[in-house]
Amino acid sequence: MNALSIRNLRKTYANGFEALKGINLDVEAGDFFALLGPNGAGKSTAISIISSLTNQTSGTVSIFGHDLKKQRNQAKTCLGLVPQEVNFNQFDTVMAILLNQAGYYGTPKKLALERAEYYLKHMDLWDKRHTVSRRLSGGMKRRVMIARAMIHAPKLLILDEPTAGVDIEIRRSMWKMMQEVNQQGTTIILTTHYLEEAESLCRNIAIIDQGLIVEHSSMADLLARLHIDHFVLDLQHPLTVAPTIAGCHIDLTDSKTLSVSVPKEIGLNHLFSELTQQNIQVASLKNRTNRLEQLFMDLVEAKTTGGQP
Amino acid sequence: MSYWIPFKTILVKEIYRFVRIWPQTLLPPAITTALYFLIFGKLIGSRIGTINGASYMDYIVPGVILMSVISHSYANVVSSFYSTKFQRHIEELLVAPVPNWVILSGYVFGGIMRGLLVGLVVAVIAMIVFRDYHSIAKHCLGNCAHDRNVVFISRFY
Ligand SMILES: Nc1ncnc2c1ncn2[C@@H]1O[C@H](COP(=O)(O)OP(=O)(O)O)[C@@H](O)[C@H]1O
Ligand SMILES: [Mg+2]
Repeated sequence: MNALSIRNLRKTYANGFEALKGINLDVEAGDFFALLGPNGAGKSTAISIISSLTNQTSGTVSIFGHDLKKQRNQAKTCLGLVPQEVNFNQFDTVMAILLNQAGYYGTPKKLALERAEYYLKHMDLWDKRHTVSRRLSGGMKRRVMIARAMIHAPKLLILDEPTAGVDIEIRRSMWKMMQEVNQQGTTIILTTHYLEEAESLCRNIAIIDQGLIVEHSSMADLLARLHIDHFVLDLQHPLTVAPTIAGCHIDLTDSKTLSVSVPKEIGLNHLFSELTQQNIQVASLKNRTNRLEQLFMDLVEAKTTGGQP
Repeated sequence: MSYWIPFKTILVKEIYRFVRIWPQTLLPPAITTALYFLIFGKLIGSRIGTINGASYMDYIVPGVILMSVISHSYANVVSSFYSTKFQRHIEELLVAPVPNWVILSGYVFGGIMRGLLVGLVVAVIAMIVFRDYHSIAKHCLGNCAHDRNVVFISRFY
């Protein structure tokens, strides 16, 4: 059964802006799914509709087979939401936030306390449980929202840019935590604009741009389609003009740095033998951009499909 | 029955809110009514004497108590709900499977609790100011609903 199934979802805001132009999306149960897109693509709009914070203009959403319109309560029970912006009561303590949320879901107090202890300890927040939430750091607030979303043991966890503006150490601990949650059987949908994050965590991916899904496939398929690699070469000796090698695109960034695009079928061996022949000594080599980032830019810039792939 | 836990959670949260910020919620009615009782009740009221066997204090106290109850229970729901919306933690309620009527009753009963507590505070102030425990207790428990002030105020609201 699909954890999430969206059909023809449209949203036109009151000011006439069409944020979603008919999207279809399927997320399998147990999946770790990435929803990518530039700012303003409509990711948060889609998530608000899924989590009943906004009403759709048309289209259907079902969560674990429960239609959002007809079986809203069952659908809501399956879902945990980590919103993009902090939205808990800034005057409540961490513990109160968790216990209140558990109460709204009808979780008995004893069970709620057990779960709160588990997630707070798990997220290094146990020492802060009696702290008023407004005194927490940004990263802590994010983790409180994750703990809050898990307090009713949802089957589907949606995180809207949970790692935005969070330092690398905390980001890594959040990745680890999300992976653990996923391994324990919770389906996760993650929106992010850190593409490396999606690349290392997610099995399937959808890319949304200007209210349309421009890509919906597995991460492996998507990466396989990248047939050009981009490198930066540091040279031993300065050059004045860039060398030319058939099939490759080479730019001279500065006198001792080359920026090279190599198609997979040509390969690095060929590149280096050509460079050696032209008597160019390479000191070191690094990947220029994240490959996914490159693909993402291509997809978003091209906008050729104009609908479902 | 299955909505008992969400209802209780909202109600307890509401009570906790106005108790925590008591200098904003319980203290002001205490001060304003104390002043009211002192100035109108004691200073002016003592010169009026009795009308049809009722003293000015008998006349004024139940009305002031009930006025506080009504206005503070309304004010509580308004300010609490408004800040919930403004701080956006209303979203915590909207994502959860709580029907609107449960949310509404949670807030309404929270308001009722605030009103009753303020009423109690004002009644205690009245007892302190007038030192006529018997008469105030009688009015608060028995005669409140028949007092002409109450009739007037309930029309006003
Ligand atoms: N309440 C609103 N009223 C009008 N337009 C909105 C509203 N909320 C979002 N939008 C617009 O919808 C588009 C998608 O926004 P959003 O879903 O937040 O994007 P993102 O993918 O960055 O999360 C943006 O252009 C935004 O300006
Ligand atoms: Mg967003």
